[in-house]
Amino acid sequence: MSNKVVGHTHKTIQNVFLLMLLSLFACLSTFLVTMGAQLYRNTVESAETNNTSRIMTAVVRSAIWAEDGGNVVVEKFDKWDLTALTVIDEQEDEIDYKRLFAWEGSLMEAYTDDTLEFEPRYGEPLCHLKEFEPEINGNMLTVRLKAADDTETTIRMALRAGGVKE
Amino acid sequence: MRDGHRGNALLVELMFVIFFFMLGAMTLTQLFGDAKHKSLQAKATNVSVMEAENVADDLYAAEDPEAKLQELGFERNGEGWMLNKDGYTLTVVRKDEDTEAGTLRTFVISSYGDGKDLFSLPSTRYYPKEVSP
Repeated sequence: MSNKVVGHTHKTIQNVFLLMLLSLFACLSTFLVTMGAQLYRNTVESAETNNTSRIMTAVVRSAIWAEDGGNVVVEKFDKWDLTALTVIDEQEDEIDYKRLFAWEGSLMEAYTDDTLEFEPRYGEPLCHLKEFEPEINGNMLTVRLKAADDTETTIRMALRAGGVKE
Repeated sequence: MRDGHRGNALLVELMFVIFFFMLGAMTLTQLFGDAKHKSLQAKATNVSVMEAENVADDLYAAEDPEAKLQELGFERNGEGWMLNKDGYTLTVVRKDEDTEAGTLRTFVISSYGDGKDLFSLPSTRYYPKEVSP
């Protein structure tokens, strides 16, 4: 009788131990998968933030470098409550305007000449952007950018060949 | 008796499974750690590139570059200047090249992070000398 009881208890302990091992296995597996998923998400988000900030700054820098021979001005349009960074390129018989501005959550680029009125909705969206605040002091251009995820970036550029039109 | 053997076999089998799982988990954790480290390093490199581009333009436009560097938070470090930021360090070294016609002023902006050189960015400006008629 007592041998039976001991055998039964031993078996119960063994079963509980097996169950505990299985639970440990399940918990560790879940932890590993959750940790991996979290890390993957963070890595992707970080890469996206990096890409967006690189695109934002590269667009502004290349726009200024490409057209630095022209006049660079900051234009305020009260009608749409927006501030644009404008590069004015004066040709022999026409004046071309290249404008960069933030509009409806995007960094936009718009080309017009002196015969067309500027309309922000006709611009081409380049990337997501919340705020775009250009400012010119002397020959230094400062642009404050706020990405969709509220990351703030500042670009400082020296206006080389062209310069600033007061 | 047969039940006991079967129970022991399952136990040993489980022990083996958990052992190999632990080995896998250890490797994966190491991989995750490396991935996180690389992600942070990529972020630091990205930020330092943008900061270096800003410093390069600041130095290009500055009439007094040393005052500008001080204003930006750089500190003297031997012959150059150094700025410690989160995850990277920027250093600036000035190299002037005098010629008969003028001076070529170059600032080499370098970034260090994670114990290695990340990149170097030169900012060069030419100052012509006055030409006698």
